[in-house]
Amino acid sequence: MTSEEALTWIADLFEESVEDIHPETLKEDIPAWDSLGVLTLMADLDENFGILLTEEEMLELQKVNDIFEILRRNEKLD
Amino acid sequence: MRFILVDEILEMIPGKTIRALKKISSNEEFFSDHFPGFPVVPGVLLTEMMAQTAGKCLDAEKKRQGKAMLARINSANFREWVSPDQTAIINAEIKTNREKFATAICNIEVMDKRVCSADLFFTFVPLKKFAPDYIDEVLESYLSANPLI
Repeated sequence: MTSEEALTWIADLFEESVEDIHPETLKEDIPAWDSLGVLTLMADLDENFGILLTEEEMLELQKVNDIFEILRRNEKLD
Repeated sequence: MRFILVDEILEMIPGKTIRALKKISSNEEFFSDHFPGFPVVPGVLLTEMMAQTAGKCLDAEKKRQGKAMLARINSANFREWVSPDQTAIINAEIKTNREKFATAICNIEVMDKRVCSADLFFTFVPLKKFAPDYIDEVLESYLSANPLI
């Protein structure tokens, strides 16, 4: 997956326009990245990429780039 | 109106698959508004039927300490109208089943024809939040009749 594809996936997940988010966008600036958003992100990482994270690990994520890092660590991002 | 939208569980593997039934009575109040002269079951109720069915499949797991609650409709499609006096067969397959969330692929068949489908996302609410005497009568009835599952 390219960075652009990852950004599109994250934008869709949090119901944002892809133009409005970038790697440095903070969690607090994405309204749908709330408690339900955390679980939705967990489910998508699980179902689409086979990445299993704990809720504690999920809560450590503070910006879009942190999601990129998870994808990179799991060799899902080019 | 009551909001129990599953009459009976036909078969179930807890946490994995379920097949249930709902007879749609022509006496349902909503038919008078939805719509005069063209009564059809609202899509939101078909979605709720699928959610309740998948929820029972998750709630049947004895390990679980929370009740499955619909948190997100990932997708839903309605292909055919469902009319009064028809019987809906509701199917759900649990796709992902984790401690904090679950997803289910669901559909409803009427007269062997698929009328709608949905991809649903569930979270779990602690049982202590509910009334102490609350029980799911439809689920308990099935589990009583099938004690070995």
